[in-house]
Amino acid sequence: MDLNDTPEQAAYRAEVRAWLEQNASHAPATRGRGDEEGAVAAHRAWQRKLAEAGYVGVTWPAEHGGQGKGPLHQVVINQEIARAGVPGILDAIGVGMLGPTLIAHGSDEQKQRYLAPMLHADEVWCQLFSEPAAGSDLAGIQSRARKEDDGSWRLSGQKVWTTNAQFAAYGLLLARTDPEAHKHKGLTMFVVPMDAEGVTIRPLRQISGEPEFNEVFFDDVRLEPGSEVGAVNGGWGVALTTLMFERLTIGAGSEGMGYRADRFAAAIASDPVAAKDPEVRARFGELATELLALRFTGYRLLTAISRGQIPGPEAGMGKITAVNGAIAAGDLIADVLGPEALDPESEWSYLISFLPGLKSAGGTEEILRNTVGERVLGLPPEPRLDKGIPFSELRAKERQEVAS
Amino acid sequence: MNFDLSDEQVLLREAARDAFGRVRTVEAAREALEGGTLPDLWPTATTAGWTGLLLSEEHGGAGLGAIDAMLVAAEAGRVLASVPLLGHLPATAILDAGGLHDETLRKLAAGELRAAYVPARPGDDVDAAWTVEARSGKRRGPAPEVARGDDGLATVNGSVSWVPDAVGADVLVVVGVDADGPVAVVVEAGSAGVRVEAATGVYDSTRPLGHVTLENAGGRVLAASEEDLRRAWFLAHTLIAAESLGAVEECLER
Repeated sequence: MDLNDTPEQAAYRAEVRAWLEQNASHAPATRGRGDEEGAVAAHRAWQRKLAEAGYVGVTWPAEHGGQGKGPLHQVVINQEIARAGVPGILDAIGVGMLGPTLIAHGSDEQKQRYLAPMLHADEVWCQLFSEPAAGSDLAGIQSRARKEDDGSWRLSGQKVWTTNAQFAAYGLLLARTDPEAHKHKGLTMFVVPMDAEGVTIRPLRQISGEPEFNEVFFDDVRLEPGSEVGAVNGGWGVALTTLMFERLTIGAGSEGMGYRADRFAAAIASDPVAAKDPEVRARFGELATELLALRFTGYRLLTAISRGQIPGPEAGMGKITAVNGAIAAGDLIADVLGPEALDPESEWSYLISFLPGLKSAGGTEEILRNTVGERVLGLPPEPRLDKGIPFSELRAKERQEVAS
Repeated sequence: MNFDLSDEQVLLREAARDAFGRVRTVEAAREALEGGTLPDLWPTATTAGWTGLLLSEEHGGAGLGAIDAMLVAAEAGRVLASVPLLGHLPATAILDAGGLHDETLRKLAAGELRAAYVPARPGDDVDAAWTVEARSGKRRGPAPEVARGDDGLATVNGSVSWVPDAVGADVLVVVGVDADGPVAVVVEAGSAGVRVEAATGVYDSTRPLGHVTLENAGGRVLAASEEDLRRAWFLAHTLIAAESLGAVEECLER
C-alpha cells in the first residue's frame, strides 16, 4: 500500500499540471452563468482542447479515442483540474457514463459513429432514463417503443430530470418494448437523436435559477433500424452498466466536483471566530471525516477496477456519502458565512442549491441503502409484490387500486 | 497510488490471523465479562515479532510502519484479542525516534520488556496546551510536568488516567511538558514515585486500563521531537480505529 504517487503517476501529474498551467487561460468561468449559448460554446471548446491533449476519456480504450490508461490517471486529472480551479469537461455524463455503456454494449457501428464526437464535445449526450413515475423504481418506466416492419421503431413517452438535453445531440434512452414481460425483462436501450421530429425539450428551472434539468417528450418519434443498444428486451442490463458508472462518477469523482474537505475548511477558516468555534469544528470534523473516508474508499475502488474487477453495489455507498457530506458542508458554510453564502456571485450559492438535485441522481439514498443492505450485507430483501407479474398487469393493478 | 496491500502485508495479516486463531480469544473475552482471566498473548506477540514492529531494524525491530501495525490491530479486534500492543507500539515509536538506543530498546524489541505509552493530546490552534485524560469529568487534565536535571535525567509530576496497557508494563513512556513544550520521558514502572493502579469497572473487559500517578518520579528525557509526540498520539488512535474496524468487519461477515 502506498498513498503517494508512483514515479510514473508523479510524472503524469507533472505533465497534466504543466498543460493546465499553460492552457488555463482558455478555460471558461463557472458553468452556465449569463449567456447560456455562449457559455455552452465555451465549455465545448474547453472539452475539445482537453480531448486533443488526451485528457478526456483517458480510461477509454485507445481504439475508441481514449488513452487506455487506468482509473487512477483519471483521478490525477480530476485532482489537477480541481487544483487549477478550471472547470471539468462539459459532457461528463457522456464521457463518464454513456460512452462506457456504448463501449460495453454498443454495436461496432455505434462505437464507430458516436464515440469520437462525444469525446471532443462535438456531440453532447444526455441520459434519458427517469420518468415522472419511474425514478428510483427505474424498471417501472412507461415510455414505449414499438418495432415497425422495416426494423425501425416508434417511440412515445416522457422523460424527466434530463441534464444537458437542451444542447444534446443524442440521448441514451430506456424504453419498454414488451409490456407482457416482467417489468425488468421487457426493456430496451436506444440511441435517440435529439433533433428528431416529435422530440420536445422543456427546461426545468431549479432553485439555483438555472435550467440544468429538462423534461423531454417523445411523440411518435421514428428511430432508425439498429438504434437499439445491446439486445432487444435486454435493456435492464445495459441500464445497470450506466448506473454503475453514474454512482462511480458521483462517488469516486466527487473531488473533481469540488466536494473536498480542504476547500470547505478554507472557507470556514476565513472567519476567525468560526474557525475557533467548538460547534463549527465538531461539525466540520464530522463531515471532513466522511469526505476523507470517501476519498480513500474511492481510490480503493479504483485500484480494484484497474485490476479488472467490476465495482459492486457498494459503489452506491460512496454516492450517498459524497452527497450527504457535501450537503452538510454547504449547510455549515451557509451558517458560518450567513446569507452572503447564497449570493449568486458566491461560489457556494451554486453548490448549495445544486446538491439537493444530486440526492436523487444515480439512485436515491433509500434505494441505494436497500441495495447495500440486500446485496452487500445480505439482509432479507424487501417484499416484492411485483415479482413475476407482466408489466401490463402491474399497471392495470395499480390503476384498479387508485380507482378503488 | 496503490491501495492494495503488498504481498508482505498480506502475509503479515495472514500470520496474525493464524496466531490469534490458536487461542480461544472470543470465548475468553466472554468469560472475562464474568471475571475470568484473559489469556496472556504477549508470548504470541513476541514470537510473531510484533513487539519490534515499529522499531528500526538496527535496533532489533522489523522497521515496519503504521499501516502494518494497523493490520495486526485489525486482526486482534476481529477476535477480541487482548494483546497489549496499543500501549507498546506508540511507546516504542517514541523511543526509537527519541534516541534511547540501548539494552532496554533491544529488550523491548525482543519482547523481554513491555512498554506502555502514557499519552498526552497535542495542543491545537484553540488551546495550545497538551492535555491528558482526567479521572472523571469532561475537562481534560494538564500533561505531567517535567523538570530536567543533569545528564538527560528528569523528574516528572502529574497523573494520567485511563491509560491502556499501563498495568504490568515494565517501562512507561510519559508525554509531559516543560517550559519549552512537550517532552517525552522514559520511566521505569518499578521506580520510586511511580504508581500504576488498575482501573476497575472497565466497560471493555479485553482492554485493561490503568491510572498512572507520578510523584517526583525519575526518568530519562528522550530526544523525540514535538512532531514525534504528535505522531504517537495519532498512531495510538489509528490503532484503536483499526482494532474497531476488525471487530466490526467480523460482525458483518458472520
